[in-house]
Amino acid sequence: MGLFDKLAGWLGLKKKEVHVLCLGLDNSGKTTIINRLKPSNAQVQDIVPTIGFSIENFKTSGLSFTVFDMSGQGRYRNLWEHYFKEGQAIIFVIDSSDKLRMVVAKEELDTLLNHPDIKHKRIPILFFANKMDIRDALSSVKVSQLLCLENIKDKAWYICASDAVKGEGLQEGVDWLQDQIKAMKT
Amino acid sequence: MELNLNRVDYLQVGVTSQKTMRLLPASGKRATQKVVIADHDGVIFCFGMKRGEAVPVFKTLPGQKVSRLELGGAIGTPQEKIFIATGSEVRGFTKKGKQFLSFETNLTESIRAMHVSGPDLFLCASYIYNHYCDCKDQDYYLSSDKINDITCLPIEKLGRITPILACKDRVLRVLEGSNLLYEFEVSGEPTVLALHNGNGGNSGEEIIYGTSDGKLGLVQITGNSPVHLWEMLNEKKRGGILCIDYFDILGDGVKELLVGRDDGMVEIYAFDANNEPGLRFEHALSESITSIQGGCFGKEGYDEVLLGTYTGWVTGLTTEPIQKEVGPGDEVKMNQEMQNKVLNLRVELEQLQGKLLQEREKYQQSAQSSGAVSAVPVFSVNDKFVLNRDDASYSLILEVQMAIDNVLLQSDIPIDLLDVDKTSAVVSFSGCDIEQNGNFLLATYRCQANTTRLELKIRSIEGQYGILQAYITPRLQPKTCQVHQYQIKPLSLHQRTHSFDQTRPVNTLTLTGQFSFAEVHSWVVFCLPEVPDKVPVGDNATFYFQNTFLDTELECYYKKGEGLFKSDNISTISILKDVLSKEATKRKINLNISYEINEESVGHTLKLIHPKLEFQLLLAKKVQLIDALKELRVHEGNVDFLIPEYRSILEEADTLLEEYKKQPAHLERLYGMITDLFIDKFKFKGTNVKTKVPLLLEILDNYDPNSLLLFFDSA
Repeated sequence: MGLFDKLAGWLGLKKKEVHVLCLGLDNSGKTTIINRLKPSNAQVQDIVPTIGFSIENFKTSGLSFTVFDMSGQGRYRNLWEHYFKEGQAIIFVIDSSDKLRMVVAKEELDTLLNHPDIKHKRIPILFFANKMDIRDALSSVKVSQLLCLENIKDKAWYICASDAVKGEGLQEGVDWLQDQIKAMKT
Repeated sequence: MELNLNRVDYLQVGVTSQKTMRLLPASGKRATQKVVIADHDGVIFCFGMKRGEAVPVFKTLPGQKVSRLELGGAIGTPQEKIFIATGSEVRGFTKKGKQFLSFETNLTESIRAMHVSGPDLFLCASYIYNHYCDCKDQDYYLSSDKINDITCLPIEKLGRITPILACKDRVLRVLEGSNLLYEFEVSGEPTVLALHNGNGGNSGEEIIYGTSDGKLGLVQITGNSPVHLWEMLNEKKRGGILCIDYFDILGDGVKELLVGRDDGMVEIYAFDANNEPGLRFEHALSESITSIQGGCFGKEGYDEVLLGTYTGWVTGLTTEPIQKEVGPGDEVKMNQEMQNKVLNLRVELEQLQGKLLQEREKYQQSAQSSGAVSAVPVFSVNDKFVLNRDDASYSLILEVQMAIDNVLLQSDIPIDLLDVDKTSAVVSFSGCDIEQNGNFLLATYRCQANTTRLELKIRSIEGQYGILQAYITPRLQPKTCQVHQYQIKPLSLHQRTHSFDQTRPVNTLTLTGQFSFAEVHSWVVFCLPEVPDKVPVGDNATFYFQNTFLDTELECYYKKGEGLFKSDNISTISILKDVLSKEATKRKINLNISYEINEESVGHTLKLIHPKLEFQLLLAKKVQLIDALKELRVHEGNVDFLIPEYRSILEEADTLLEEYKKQPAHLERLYGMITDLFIDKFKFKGTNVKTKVPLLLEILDNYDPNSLLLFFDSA
């Protein structure tokens, strides 16, 4: 990165564009998280289950994200793989209060990681253990154990407990993602 | 739904008394509340949390020890005025720390309990209850035993003022004006009272009480009699209850019961459809919990249970998850907050170490000078010496604000020290020479690091009375020691009750002579535990007692110049006779002692002992067989060839062994009591039968109730 580019980057004049895939089971809070990351005047009030997918944009201090907010419903999940090629990073959202479907989430994660488009790409994966405000939610450590995240060796990953309704924990996660993407670029 | 709460330590202040920490109601938009806590140095400290840092609101100057802290305010407005009781004075502060009230009550003793409701102020000193309205004296009552706590049914709901006193003699007293409306007995010494559900329940008449032996109960106080709704026994042998609050921590719309105990246990009970409590969560701290309250304190949106401990820690049990972020790598990363905390502590520690070194040098130098006097650092010890009903032993609980280094126990009478599972201290018994220095027991408890609380179990023998001394040394520089003395009374195993079974055969001891009412009361205080030091009102007094080991009863009735003692146990009467005549001789008072022995009472007492003795003998016999049976099982591979009786012993082997371990020397104790009974019975007849004791022991070894009774009658 040249000096001028860096300067422009610091001043927020020019931001790198990144394509991110937001995945996870239905009702895990993907759309709510993306909505929360947008500037406050662009946020929508009510969120309905996504059909197919939608494309959203948000900016952080150094990057401009384009997110493919995929629907997590069973019948739309085979849609995910069509967008794997474009993804430069993955946000995987888990409903940490849904202990029953934790295995389904693990299953989907494993298929994702073993997909030929993903398997050999060194892209960062950010996990959100969402809905941590619910009383009997699992902790992020517990979620990472249940999903066997320690087996991911060739990709950078990070798990963050979040409460998408209040916006807690999201910033930490996106900050990490930004650092990873920047490190990848240079 | 299971409840997960994470512990967060916020801040430490000085040593605190019972019920001296409260959460101020949330004000304005801010959802988090502020906490106000008062300690023994008289400092009232109010603070809130902002990003993991304590932000003080106000802090007052040190003064007298604060014994209670309550919130109040005009009825209908948020209760955010802070009232504290220090000495005999009540002070009021606004939530900003501005003092608006200073009320000198003219009580001779310091205030022990306080309740505030609108303009009404209810205060209790040791025995005195006083009600003030707008600081004007309204009602007054003198209780017959020490008052532990006070509460008042909600005035705005019922339209009348009904204060309830929790007294040391296991009685709740309901007052009306300056008079006693009625009183009723509860199963233990009540230490704390609270309105059920925080508002008195649906009727506004329900109060909950916690006792010093760990029981909880709910009572409805109606106009003329109490209705007991439920009572929770203390099966796990937990400590006494010091604080109670109601808060909806589960978030299900029903308030849960939060309980703090003096052994550091925090419990949360939820109510089911029948309004019966069920335990949902428990957590153990290492020191006694003096205050408990639910609210939102550390972080917006996460409810928590806030605790105040004896040594002044403000600790929270929060619903907020602690570990939020993880990445690859084996070690769990510390979050930023934690790192900051460690860093801050390290810096602070370094600074303090430097300062300490300087001061120590200075001290060493000035200690050399001949004119200087070296002052001793003062520390407070929270102690409790109570009789356990279920196993007839005393619990001595010592708690110091600093970690204890060692505790030395010295006794001038024979006592047994029993093992307590909770105690991690190492005990060593020193050999003592009874002839030379009169010590029957010298034991040292060396505590492990960071033990602030030590629990000991002591077993005394009826009739052997004297003083037990504890020398407590905390980890403090310069090392100092504090001595505490505990009386072991002649009838140490008797517990006070409020009823007496008149149908039992009784032996009577009558005292007459030239003594005053106060004198005879002081003798009773000397002989029996749980009698108030203060001379009772009126010209006579009656107390009832029960022996916790044998369930025999004792009635004491006395007035000026006369005392009447009735018991169904001859040994009790014999001990009383010896001690009373000794006391009278000491004061040079001429006593006429006469006694009346009921022959039936011996049989009656033996009948009471019989089931216990039989149980212990059977247990001992079974335990003896366990090892042999186990060996047989190993050899043969199975136990099918054994008779069913032995098979059942093998099945229950673990429980039997545990039971046997729990009751060490129980059999010897029973033998001792029977021997005492035997000797005492004949002593009253004027014969000395000490030579026949070996014969009695022989009979006891081959125990049969009829032959024992026969021996008692014939010998």
